Amino acid sequence: MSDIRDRVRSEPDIFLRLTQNSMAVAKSIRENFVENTLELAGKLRENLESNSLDGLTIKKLANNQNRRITASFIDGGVGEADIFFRVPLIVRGGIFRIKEGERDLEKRETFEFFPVLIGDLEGGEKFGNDYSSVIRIIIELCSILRVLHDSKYQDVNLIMLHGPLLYRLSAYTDHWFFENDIDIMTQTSGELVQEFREDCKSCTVYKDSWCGIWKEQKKVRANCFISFLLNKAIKESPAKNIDLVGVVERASATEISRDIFEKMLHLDADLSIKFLGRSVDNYSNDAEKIVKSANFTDSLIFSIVLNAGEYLSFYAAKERYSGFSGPLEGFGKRLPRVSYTYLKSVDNTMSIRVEFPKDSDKDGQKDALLKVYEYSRLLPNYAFPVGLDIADKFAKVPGWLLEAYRKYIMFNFGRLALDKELDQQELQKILMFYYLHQRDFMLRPKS
Amino acid sequence: MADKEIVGTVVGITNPREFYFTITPGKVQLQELVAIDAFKIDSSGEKRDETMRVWAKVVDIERINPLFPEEAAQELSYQRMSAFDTVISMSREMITAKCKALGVEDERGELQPLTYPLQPASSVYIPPQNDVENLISVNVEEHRKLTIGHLRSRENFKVRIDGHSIVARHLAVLATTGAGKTVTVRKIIEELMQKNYPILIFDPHSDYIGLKDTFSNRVDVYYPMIYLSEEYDSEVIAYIAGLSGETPSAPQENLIKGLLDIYRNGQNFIDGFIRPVAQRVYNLNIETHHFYALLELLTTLQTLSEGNEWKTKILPEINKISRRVAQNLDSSGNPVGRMLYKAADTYKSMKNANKFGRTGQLQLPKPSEIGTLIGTHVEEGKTSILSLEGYTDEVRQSIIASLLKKLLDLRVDGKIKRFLTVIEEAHTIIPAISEGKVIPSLPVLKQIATEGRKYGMGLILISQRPSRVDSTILSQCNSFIILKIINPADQKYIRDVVESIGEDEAQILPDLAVGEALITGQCVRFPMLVKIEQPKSKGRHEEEDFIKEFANVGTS
Repeated sequence: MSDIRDRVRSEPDIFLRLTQNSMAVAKSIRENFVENTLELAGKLRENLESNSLDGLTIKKLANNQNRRITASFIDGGVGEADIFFRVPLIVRGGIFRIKEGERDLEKRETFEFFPVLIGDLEGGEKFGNDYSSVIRIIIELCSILRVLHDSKYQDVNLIMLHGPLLYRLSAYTDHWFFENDIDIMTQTSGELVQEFREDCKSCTVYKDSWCGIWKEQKKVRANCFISFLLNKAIKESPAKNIDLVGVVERASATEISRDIFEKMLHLDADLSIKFLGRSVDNYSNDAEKIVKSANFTDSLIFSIVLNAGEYLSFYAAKERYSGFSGPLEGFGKRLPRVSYTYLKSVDNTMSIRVEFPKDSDKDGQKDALLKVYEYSRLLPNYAFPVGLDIADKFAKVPGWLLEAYRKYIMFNFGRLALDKELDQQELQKILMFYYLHQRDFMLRPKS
Repeated sequence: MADKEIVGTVVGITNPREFYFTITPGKVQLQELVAIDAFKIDSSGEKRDETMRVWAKVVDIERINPLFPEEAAQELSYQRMSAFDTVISMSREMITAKCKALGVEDERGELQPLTYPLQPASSVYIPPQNDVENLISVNVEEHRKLTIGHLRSRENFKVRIDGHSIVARHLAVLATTGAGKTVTVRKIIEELMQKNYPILIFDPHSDYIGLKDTFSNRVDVYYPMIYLSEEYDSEVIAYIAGLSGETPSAPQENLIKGLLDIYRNGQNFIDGFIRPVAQRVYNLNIETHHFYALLELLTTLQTLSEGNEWKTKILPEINKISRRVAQNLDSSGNPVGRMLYKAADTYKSMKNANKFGRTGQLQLPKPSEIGTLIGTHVEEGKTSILSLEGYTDEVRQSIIASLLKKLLDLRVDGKIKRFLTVIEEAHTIIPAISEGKVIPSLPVLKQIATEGRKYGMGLILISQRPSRVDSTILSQCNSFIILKIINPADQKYIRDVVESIGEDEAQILPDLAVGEALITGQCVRFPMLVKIEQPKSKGRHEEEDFIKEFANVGTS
């Protein structure tokens, strides 16, 4: 434990986060919070090392590098314009493919991107906060399929996605699209929709008649389509000898923490007193309360517990398969299984979450993890794979495009008003709203 | 636009003075001349169908890889890895050129100031060779054009400068040692020689002797001679000061002038009073024995002044010729004697040094015949080189001052043709004055620099230390050829003195390669970067490989 204490003291970023957390906890446990957290981390490490937590252990990456591969990095971005309020306008997916060691820049790198104007889509819950996120997930998954299918990516050994392989889709159950929208997003002419419909025939989650209505209306549930795309990608990647991995920075998940804290409470009841100020009441609930009250995340906990170059043995994701209710209950079983780990690539940085298809080749997973580690060490201050950073910059919607789009919208607004399609009263309301938004003294509302 | 080589697209905010464009990789270099076809705007602000060509010069190029995080570079350095062995992107670089607008081409090919910004997204192209060459030397009559080289960025784009502005309004060639100053000037001289323009070169290091080898019939090389008998008093005093290293006081100057008076006006006195008692070592011949003859006269007078007949017989005779001797002999005789002795010895050893490689050289004509250096007829078109090798800066200053004063007089009287004077090592001939130091060549060169156009006496000043050249004279130069300059003081000085040089141009001076020059001023329409063409002639020392002679001994 003294090792962890000494190390964390020399890692100012992590120490600062712990101190920040201590300011938010109850006064009764604040005084010794940092000390208790470090003690907890020390014991956790001991238990992980002694394999006392149901098989979870700490592993060290074996550095067998010099294996040069071709990697594809995939990321999506949402561009928002500031009109009256921030409005998502464009979603863009990007692929950055690179062949390590290749000197010929033509052969070495490929960039591709897929922009979708939200205004071109007709279906869906456009006013939902996460509408653009759903589109982004679909575009990212389509980008994975693009790498798997297009011959120009035939030398790719690794696909690295910026973000989780599997999102918590229960949050997106309301979203849907027309088949035409799917074609726009996937840049296909109905083939993928047709394949999706074929795949739906094996689905037992929804009643046939109910899905039939959707089919008749040429509508597609976002969740179903995402699940279809991800299952397809996970199924096809081994056949192409491609490892598939998702990398999450600044992860806020607490799944593992809650799980292992519950186990820790069984091993050390004092934990509850130190963090909750009382003895254990309910192991599962108290573990969750410790996590919430201390604002712990898996990423923070393993940033403290792990040394640079270490990772947690793979953990099978569970929570993402729950949360579906009503007619969607049981949808989780349609989703592919994923497992994940936390990797600490560099000292004084937060650990990153790395996700794999659960049943993919174990050696491939280790190789891919090693590449994540290797690429992350090129960005020591971020501790995040540099290829994803490049894809992120590439996929980002440029400011000038958003500004141009904003002006286009304002132009159309003006034209609408001039064409007298708005009556004077409506126009005044809109202008007043606009003026208020602009906060300009000259445009202040009249008293 | 099909026949034009498009090299980029205008981006960002433009203004009538400058703009930026993203460039096609590898297609544009620093100081490149580019053009943009812009629509004309009429007085009502409407676009017309006609286009006009806007010329611009690339003054800076920036290259950035936005997909290469700095943190990654740091890690690569620590790990001693090549970026190629990682997943860092190398292919998405953004290369942007900053351009200074030179102007809009009018119907006559003249450049008019740009008064309206260029349209962003306009295509930028490299204009055809003929158009560029015409732009560089438009309105310069063919007989005035001097081919000096090609644009640094385009090997086939010849640069022809206006020779008239050089011979009439002076040119300064400035660069650090070895950057190509002399080669540049030899190229200009050869071009002017083709036009038969008379040239006088003061050559301190025999860098121009090669002209004689290449153009033997057109070039004469002279070695210097001092003709004290025909020099002005002030010139003689300057020689004595320069050779002895001592500056004569007023009484000492008067004594020297008195001695010269005796030589010029008292031959009977010399024959009657001096020659009989002199030791006859130098035969009292000032024409052949220069300072020694003066010294002999002085020592003989000193000897006589101790005799019985001095006051009664000799002094009255001397006073008839000059009263300066009697007034100053006692007080200044010894120091003047010392100066004359040192001057005589130094001159002797310098003449010996100057003899090195003198084969085929001519003795400098007497002052009375000095006009032959230039010639009195247009058809003579002669180039004269005065080899000053072996002489100290002070003596060179005196020789140049003496010669140019006489030529200026002849030129004012219309007795010789217009000519161009080449001053090498200008910082030693016309240095920025140090307190208390008299530079004999400074006044005459200042006069030529300021009034040279009137008299038809142009100057080419060459220096490796521009900041040490007299600023009044340098600022009279209307054209500048500036090669590589490393010394920061010189760079600053050039920025201060050369009005036509911009900050962007000044910044590239230390990075120029040998033979690359920034030409600015009246001889060109706008500052441009030029690769100087090799002249036909060679410098005496530049091709010699000193080590080779020894290196192969015993190896065969």
